[in-house]
Amino acid sequence: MTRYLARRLVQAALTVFGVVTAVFFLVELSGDPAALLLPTEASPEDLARLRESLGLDEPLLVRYLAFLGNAVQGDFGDSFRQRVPALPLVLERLPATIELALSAFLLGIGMAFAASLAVRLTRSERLRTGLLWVAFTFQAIPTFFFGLILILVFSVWLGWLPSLGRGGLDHLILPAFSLATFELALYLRLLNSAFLQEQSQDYVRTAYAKGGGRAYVLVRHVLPNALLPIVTIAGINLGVLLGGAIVTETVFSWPGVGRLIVQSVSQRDYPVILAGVFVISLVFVVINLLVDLLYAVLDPRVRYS
Amino acid sequence: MSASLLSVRDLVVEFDGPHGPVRVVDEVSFDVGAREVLGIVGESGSGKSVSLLAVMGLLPASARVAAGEIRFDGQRIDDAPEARMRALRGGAISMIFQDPMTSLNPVLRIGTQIGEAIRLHAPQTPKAELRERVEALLASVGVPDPATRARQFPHEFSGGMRQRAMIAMAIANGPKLLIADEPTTALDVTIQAQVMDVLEGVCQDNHASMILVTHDLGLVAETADRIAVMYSGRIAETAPTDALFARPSHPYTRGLLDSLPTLDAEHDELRSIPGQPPDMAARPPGCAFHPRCTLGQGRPACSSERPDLRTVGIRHAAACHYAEEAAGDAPPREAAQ
Repeated sequence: MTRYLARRLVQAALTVFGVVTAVFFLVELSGDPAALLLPTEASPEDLARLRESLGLDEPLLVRYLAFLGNAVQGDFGDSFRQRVPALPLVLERLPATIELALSAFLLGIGMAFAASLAVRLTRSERLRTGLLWVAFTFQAIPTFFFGLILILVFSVWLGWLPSLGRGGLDHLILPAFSLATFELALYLRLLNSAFLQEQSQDYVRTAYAKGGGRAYVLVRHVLPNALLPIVTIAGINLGVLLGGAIVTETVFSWPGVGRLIVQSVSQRDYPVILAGVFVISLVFVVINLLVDLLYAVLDPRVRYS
Repeated sequence: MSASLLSVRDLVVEFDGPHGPVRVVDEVSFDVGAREVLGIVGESGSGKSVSLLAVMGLLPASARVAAGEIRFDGQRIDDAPEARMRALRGGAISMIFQDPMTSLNPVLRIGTQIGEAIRLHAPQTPKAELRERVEALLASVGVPDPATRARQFPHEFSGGMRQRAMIAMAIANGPKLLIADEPTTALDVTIQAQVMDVLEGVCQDNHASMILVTHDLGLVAETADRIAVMYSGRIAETAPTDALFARPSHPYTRGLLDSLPTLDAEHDELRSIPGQPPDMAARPPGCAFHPRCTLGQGRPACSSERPDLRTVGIRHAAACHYAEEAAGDAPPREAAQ
């Protein structure tokens, strides 16, 4: 187990290193940051001076090695635009992203569980088809469009909820719901097929033969087995959400990591981009590791060595 | 027969088919007396398992009891409310399934699954008592070191041990009737005899009756008091075990007996019954067995009239127009003119 963990941690570190390296060279293609920082009428001398002060005049490879040396110490450099260290700038946005991602994730998966348990318990074919229709529809609507509709209805027409920014619970409702509907659709379909598949297994018949009722057998026997295929997908998906729901964060002006990275890309703010990518890939690999460990808890047949 | 523990009368079970209902069990009747072991023998798809799922009230959603009645301890259970059936299942009637590899829940501990059988019928059982009873049950079916084994998961058990755990689960509440559906089919041959010993042992200890469903005549020969042979959803022959082996009165039973391997090498090759069991949705007219029957070839009654079960000896009945001939009482008829 310890060896397994050690191996996974090394893999995780390599993954993060690979992602950050790839992005370091990719942003280099986006153009000259100095040109965006100075007004268009700036002289070539001004540009050269700025490049020098930002360290951009060094050869690419030298800059890369210097970046790596600083990054392992947690220093991603200062934001070109805001002149403050880049990593704290990203970390400061992280709570907003976690808040939105977790609430959308829990809301979506919770609704999906409630709905699919209701379908199994009532055995209503009509309810099942109805819900799947809703799921397909939600999945087919682009997130930004659905977000705008929500704003139009609940903020503009009804005036019930704020349309942008982060604040109290009322600010969270619209963006979280907008993201959650997509999650709901995904998990509803996954759970539906997982339940159907497990329901016909022999151990279910055994549970009935012992005298279990329908709800009991569903919750005690079918559910834990149906969870197994869901956990993997949910882990990857939560990682994606925590990486910043860029579209939703933009539509609702949610001050999360995703929106920060998008802004930084358009401003060619290299340190912030790299710090952001570092944080997101770290979150992603950690969640994946946790999911694999959780899997071993849920399924006794899985043992890591 | 009034003292029967289980009495099944003219049971008809239908499945939804693409062209209307299909009779998978067709007017089947049998009785199981107190402490009696009934063997039900037949090929796959002869309706034997379905009949017993009907007794348990566990038919799949696409099937239903279309006619007949099932009585347990004198009371009808085929139309009993679900709450009553739940109390019976795992209580007075319990069932052991064919494949112990898939019949246990892979993510729950063995002890939890056995304890559940107790708790579903006595929810107030204290934890310590539950654990003691689970360990005692495991010990009674010959699982060594029950305290450790109870904490293990199904994948840590061998096939034979899993089936023992299934048996422990089935006898948790001292059932009066144990239904074992091909309990040894999925096991290694060397383990089969051990598991059968355990089954017989727990029946005696619990004073329970048992229905042993199998396609292995050799297996029931040693265990069953009576045997019912099923073919294409109907009972072809039923008799006390000795009588069935001594005087098989249905050509199908005869064929099954002839296909048993013997040690005295009268013939080197195993004999088989030619042909396949008929499709339940398109049974041949008359006797369902006649296309495969050597006795009935060319006889008009066999292909036009369906033979009913009729008495051919003491507690011995066969559904064949020429049962006496099949039993060897009458001289075999000359080859078809």
